[in-house]
Amino acid sequence: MKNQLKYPLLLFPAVFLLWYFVYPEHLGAIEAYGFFACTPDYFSEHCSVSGIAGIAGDYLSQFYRWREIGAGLQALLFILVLWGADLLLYRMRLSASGWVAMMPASLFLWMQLRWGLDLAPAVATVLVLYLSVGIVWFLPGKWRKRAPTFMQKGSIQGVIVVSSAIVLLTAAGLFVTDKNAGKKEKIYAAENAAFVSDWNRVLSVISPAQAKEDSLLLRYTLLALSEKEMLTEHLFNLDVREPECFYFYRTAEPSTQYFNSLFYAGLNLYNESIHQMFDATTDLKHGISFRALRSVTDWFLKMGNLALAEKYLTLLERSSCHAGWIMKRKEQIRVLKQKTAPIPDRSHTDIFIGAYPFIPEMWRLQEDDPTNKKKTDYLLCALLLKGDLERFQEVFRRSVYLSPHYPVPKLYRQFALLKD
Amino acid sequence: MRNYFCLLILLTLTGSCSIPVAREQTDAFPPVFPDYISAWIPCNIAPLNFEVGGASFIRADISVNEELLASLKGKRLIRIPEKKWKEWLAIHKGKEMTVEVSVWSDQYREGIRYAPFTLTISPYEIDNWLAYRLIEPGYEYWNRMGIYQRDLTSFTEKAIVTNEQNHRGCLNCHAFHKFSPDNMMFHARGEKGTTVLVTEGTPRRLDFDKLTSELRATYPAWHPSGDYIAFSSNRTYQSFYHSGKMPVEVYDVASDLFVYDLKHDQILTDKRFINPEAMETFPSFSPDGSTLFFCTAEPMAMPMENRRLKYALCRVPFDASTGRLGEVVDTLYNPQVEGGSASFPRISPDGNYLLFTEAASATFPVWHKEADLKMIRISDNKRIDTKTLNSEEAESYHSWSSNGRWIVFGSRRIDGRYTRLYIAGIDEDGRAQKPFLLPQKDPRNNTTRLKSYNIPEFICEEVRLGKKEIRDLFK
Repeated sequence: MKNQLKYPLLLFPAVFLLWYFVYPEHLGAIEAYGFFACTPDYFSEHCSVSGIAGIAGDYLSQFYRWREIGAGLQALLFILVLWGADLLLYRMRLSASGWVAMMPASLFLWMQLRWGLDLAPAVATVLVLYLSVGIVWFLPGKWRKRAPTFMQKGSIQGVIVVSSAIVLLTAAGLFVTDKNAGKKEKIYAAENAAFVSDWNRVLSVISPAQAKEDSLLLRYTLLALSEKEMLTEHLFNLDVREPECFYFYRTAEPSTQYFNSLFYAGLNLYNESIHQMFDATTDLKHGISFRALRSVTDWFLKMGNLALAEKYLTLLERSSCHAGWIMKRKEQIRVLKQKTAPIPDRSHTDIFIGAYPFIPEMWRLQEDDPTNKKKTDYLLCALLLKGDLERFQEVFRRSVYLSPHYPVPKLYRQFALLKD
Repeated sequence: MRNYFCLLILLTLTGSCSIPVAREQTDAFPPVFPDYISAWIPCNIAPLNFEVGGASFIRADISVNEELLASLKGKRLIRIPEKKWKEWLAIHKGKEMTVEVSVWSDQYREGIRYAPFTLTISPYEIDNWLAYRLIEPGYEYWNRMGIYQRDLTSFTEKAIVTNEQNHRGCLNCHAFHKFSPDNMMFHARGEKGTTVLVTEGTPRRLDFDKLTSELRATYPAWHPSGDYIAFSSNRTYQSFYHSGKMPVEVYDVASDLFVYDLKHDQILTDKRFINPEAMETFPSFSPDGSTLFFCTAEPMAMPMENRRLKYALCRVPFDASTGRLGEVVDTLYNPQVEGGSASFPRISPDGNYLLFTEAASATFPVWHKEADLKMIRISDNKRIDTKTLNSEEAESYHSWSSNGRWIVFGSRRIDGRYTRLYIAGIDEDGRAQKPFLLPQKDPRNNTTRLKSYNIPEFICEEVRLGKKEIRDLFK
């Protein structure tokens, strides 16, 4: 019995390292897209749908915010499956066929990846397995088989060990080389970095070749360049053909809506960031996520809408891992309450986001806020992409670049003087 | 030794049962949430549990006519025992209940006793159930939504129908014939969408697209006879502001009125109300069924002209024997005179008062912070003061209880975004009492709930629709 418990532990570090080094961004995304809160609405909505496994999975997902803990929990779930399978074999007097336990465990490892960001199936698997162990444990002896004698010979033991290794290595190989998971890992890496404004990391995880091949990665690259004020230097290196490459126009796909929320946040258009974020999360199991709550809380704070920021903080207080994060925001609110002017109910000009394609929209936004360099750069670059030099110069002549404080990028210098 | 041990236990128990007395005193009212101070409450309402922000301990002494009914305690929250509460309300109808609150907190470590506040127990009951939709407040998509019902005498909330039964589609515009749970309708949009009509408790599909290809049934209004339902047919859009506290403008680009005759399964139209020169919406019948009230506006180029889009409130006679609308259209609210835009006309059950929502413009007042409830006395078109009902944030959809003594309405006064329900008493002269927030077991649920309450409608009893029955309608 001791061996049943000891040997699987040896695999814990291996599985930990697999997750930690091969798919660390998946781990972060499990928390970012997850949600758990001790509220009546959470339990009444999700008890009936997902049951204990769902709630337990949601609870665990909170801890994936730290990759080390996430990798540890993934490895622990794997070990629990291996243990459970071993216990079943042991109780069924089939320990000599111990390699069989590797099969469900290896399958579980691969399925953990296929299940994506939802921990409920993994937790359900563990629960069902241990329920089976419980049932088998109390089965009468005559119902429990004994392994055939020949299987206890030394040579057969050798076969068992080698077979176990082959099964496990195959599973690990599939795990590491899963193309779909690899692609998602890249996207999660960009998302995770962008949502904490680590633009250097965004640029380091996406190569120019990858940006050219994938429309979402291209947009993350362009956004990072804009945030680092490097857009004009690299725009034409990236094979950008049209202004709509800066964002996703009228999209209903969640990953693109997440991107749009960041795009508009970069322009201080938090109404639209919040709109895009809430629309993106409707596709999720809970209709909301930790990342969404953190993001909208911060955006409402930036808008000066303290009542709504406080509401979401109250909700986050019902989760397990946000104490420090909440404390900082509450301090911000305390300071802001002393000095924040009321937000105007309506803007002085009505500009409707999403009502126009990129250039007319950015034109209106830039006219409304001519000192905003990012909006100016997006508009000027968009006009260049369209080859509209006349309007480029019209905008340039009213832009911040007329001020000596803003050096004119090389790209603009060429076209600003061209007409003259 | 044994006696000593018993005394020790007795002293411990006695000590743990005693409630401390606050050292300080103030003339100010306690900062309770919800604000139940001076509320006028139905004699059958659920307990008004409340909390005090920042409190580590609260004491609440409840009395009537100086007779102490109970001394309650809690850390952050006072939970009033349901059974006792019901007894108190039943016995003390028409009287004032006094609540004296003492709070211990970081600021008042020795405790502070606040001035007692009163709750007036109205002799009038409120309908036992309230139906509403729960939905995220705005934008274009949804996850889970449903039409729910709440027992107003307790904290029980149940689903009437959720979108798990109609392929995660949209559910909206529930309406009840004369507060009856057995005769009602709601729309179900999306895959295999339809209007569900429930007659004597049996649901069936009412596919308007088979009756008309030009009109779609949107906002409903039951005729008191149950023989007709008036609908507006709306083409609704929304646009998103780039800045400002108001994020969305929801508007119609076209809307018309028609009447559905249930007995003959046919649609009745009147050319005056089906044309592109005017938009008509929000139909509502008078309690005697002789008049149809509605809102109307001249179409504008939307969304850019949204600030110029203003709805008038009108009425037209209705002949229940033919289902036809009369000739003369009266205007009760003229935006050119009043300056605003009217929505949601609802007539009191005694036929005397018209409650509506007024905003600066357009037709979806819940997104307009300035939206307020207004009331007109129908006999002489006189305005009744409704300041008590309104706040700095939007007040929007409302409805009357069956006895006309209570209204329920949606308000965003807590945080400016999530609509919560408020109940207010209305006396025989149309005067409104201070509204109070729909009671919850824990008031903090108002903050943690991520959905808005939508279209609150009173019902006299619980709706009992089989889940499978409804699901089968969408197969």
